[in-house]
Amino acid sequence: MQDVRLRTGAATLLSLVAFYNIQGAVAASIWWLIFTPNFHLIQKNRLILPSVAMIGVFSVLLEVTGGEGISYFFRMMVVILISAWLLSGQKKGDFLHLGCWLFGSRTGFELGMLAEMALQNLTTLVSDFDRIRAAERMKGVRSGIRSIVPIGRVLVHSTILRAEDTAELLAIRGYVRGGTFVCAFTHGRGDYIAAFFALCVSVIAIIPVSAFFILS
Amino acid sequence: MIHIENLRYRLLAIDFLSLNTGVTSVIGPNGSGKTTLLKLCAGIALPESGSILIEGTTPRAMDIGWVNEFPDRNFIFGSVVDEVASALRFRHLPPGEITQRTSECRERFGLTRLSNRAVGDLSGGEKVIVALAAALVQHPAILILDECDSHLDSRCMQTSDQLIRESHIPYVIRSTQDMEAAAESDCVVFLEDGRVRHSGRPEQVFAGLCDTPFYPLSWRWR
Amino acid sequence: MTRLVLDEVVAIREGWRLAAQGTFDEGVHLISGDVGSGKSTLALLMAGLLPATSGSVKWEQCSSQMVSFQFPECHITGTTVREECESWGLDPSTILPSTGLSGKGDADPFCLSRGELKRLHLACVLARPYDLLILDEPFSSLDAREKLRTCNILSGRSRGITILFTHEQAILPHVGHIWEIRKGRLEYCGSPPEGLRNWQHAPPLIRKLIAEGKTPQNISPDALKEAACRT
Repeated sequence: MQDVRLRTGAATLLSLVAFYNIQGAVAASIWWLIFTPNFHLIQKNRLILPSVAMIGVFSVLLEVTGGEGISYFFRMMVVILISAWLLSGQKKGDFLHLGCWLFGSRTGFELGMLAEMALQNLTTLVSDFDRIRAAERMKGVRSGIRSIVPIGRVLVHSTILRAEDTAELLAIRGYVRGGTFVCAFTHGRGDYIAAFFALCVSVIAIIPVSAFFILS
Repeated sequence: MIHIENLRYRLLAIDFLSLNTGVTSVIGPNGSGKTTLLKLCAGIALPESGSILIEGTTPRAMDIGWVNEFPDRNFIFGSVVDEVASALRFRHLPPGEITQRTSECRERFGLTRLSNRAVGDLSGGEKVIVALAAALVQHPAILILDECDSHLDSRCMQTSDQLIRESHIPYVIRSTQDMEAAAESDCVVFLEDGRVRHSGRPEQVFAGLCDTPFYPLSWRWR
Repeated sequence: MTRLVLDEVVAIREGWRLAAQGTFDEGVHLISGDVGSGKSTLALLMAGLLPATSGSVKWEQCSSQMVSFQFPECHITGTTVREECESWGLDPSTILPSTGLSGKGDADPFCLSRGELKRLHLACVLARPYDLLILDEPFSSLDAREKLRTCNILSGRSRGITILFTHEQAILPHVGHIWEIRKGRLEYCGSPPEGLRNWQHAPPLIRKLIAEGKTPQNISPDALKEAACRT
């Protein structure tokens, strides 16, 4: 799906229904299997498995303490898969176009710019993590809790430094609030079909089953 | 003329310094206050006391181009076209004017073929050229480069020097650890422990540094 | 004898390719190349931290290896400068005086300036006798005095393989071999002085001396001075 408006809209809707109830999660996962490159996404995105593992830990805790851990795990896993699909099709600048289209050249520009910066940071954090881990291994630090603390410190430190540099650039380039922007969007051939089915999936998941059948 | 008088900021203490138009290289040991001085000249930091006036105006009241040390940390946006246009967009200029000026700038810097590329996918040299284009698109009166040559190869440095020369910026202030490049400047300022130890033409400044590693290697046998 | 062998190694990324073939014996090797030519990728391949797309990297009699990354922050595991020295298995009382950080033993390494942090990191790395030591841009962020001091230490490394990736143009150590990345391929230029004539990325100073018929014996400041004063 090339149009960022349709992609973001479909992803938001599907994430909400997936989290809302288990039927929604099942319906959204079927949509994900049909309309996205599905398992290729899992291979390409290195953040999916750690995220699922983290959700797994929370789910176990929830189940042990009497909550609906299994249902939570499944619903959150679908949300993660939908998010991975959303980000996999993202081109640089897409969020800026979307933000300005939704909320105009002041608030929209700022939201779009924030999203762009956050995405860039995410990519940098992943490459920084690899480098720090390699440096730790060469020093003889084994994987585990003891290795996570220094990694966290370095990542926080480098993120703060980058934030300072970005703030300086914004100030120097005269940023006060918002900016001029002309939105432009491209569509793929199957964009509207996939978006239509995302809408159908959401409606089916939200409306109670009894509403579809005349039950005596 | 840039006038610095009774400047105090953290470890930096400069009683008087004046810089003419042209390229000024700020040199000195690590921790001597080079970046601090550049940030004050750019208006990123404000002096605790004293003043910096560029043609009688404070830095914050002017358009200033800034490129920092790390090629990867000179970007706000993800794509080349958004990055180069950023300063004009922030000023809410009309879309037509932004398109025209950024197109001209991209052409001048040879970036047209890279317009739709993600900045993260560019080579280090290309990143510096994009950062320079983003800094110069607003035609600033002063361009400040904070050791941005320390991660560049000699060819890349030559390209960026040429682009800066062709941009006819009245004032270029750069900090550098490349003494050969500093020797080519119009003016050199040597900082040590936050104070200006030497300033003036390269011959004058390096005459006072001939017994130190800061003396340009090529000058030792010329 | 320690050896590193690159056997038809190829690394391919989107729109970018690097090929490397060669044997690295003990001594100091300098590798130069344009920014973005793949120096950092080659460093990771050589250390086995990145798998090659094809070909293989072989380490012979190499029991210890280290890559010093361009940004020293990546290596920090200690919460104080003293702890950081100890994390390398080194005695802070010997390392800190040589780096001018004697009074900062209890400071957080992240509170050091970039130059100080690089100094501390290089002092720790160069104090250990690694069989294979790979240094990615060791001179960036250092001032001229520190560059010279680091070069003197590197020139004095007598054992193991030291591979230096740099685009430093003036202050360089005494090296045994020169390599460069040209058009996506690692090429061996040779040992100085003969190898200097094949070195396309040679700094302007060295190119000037060669053009004047005064080819230096090596690339250290002393060797350049000796060549320049030759009549």
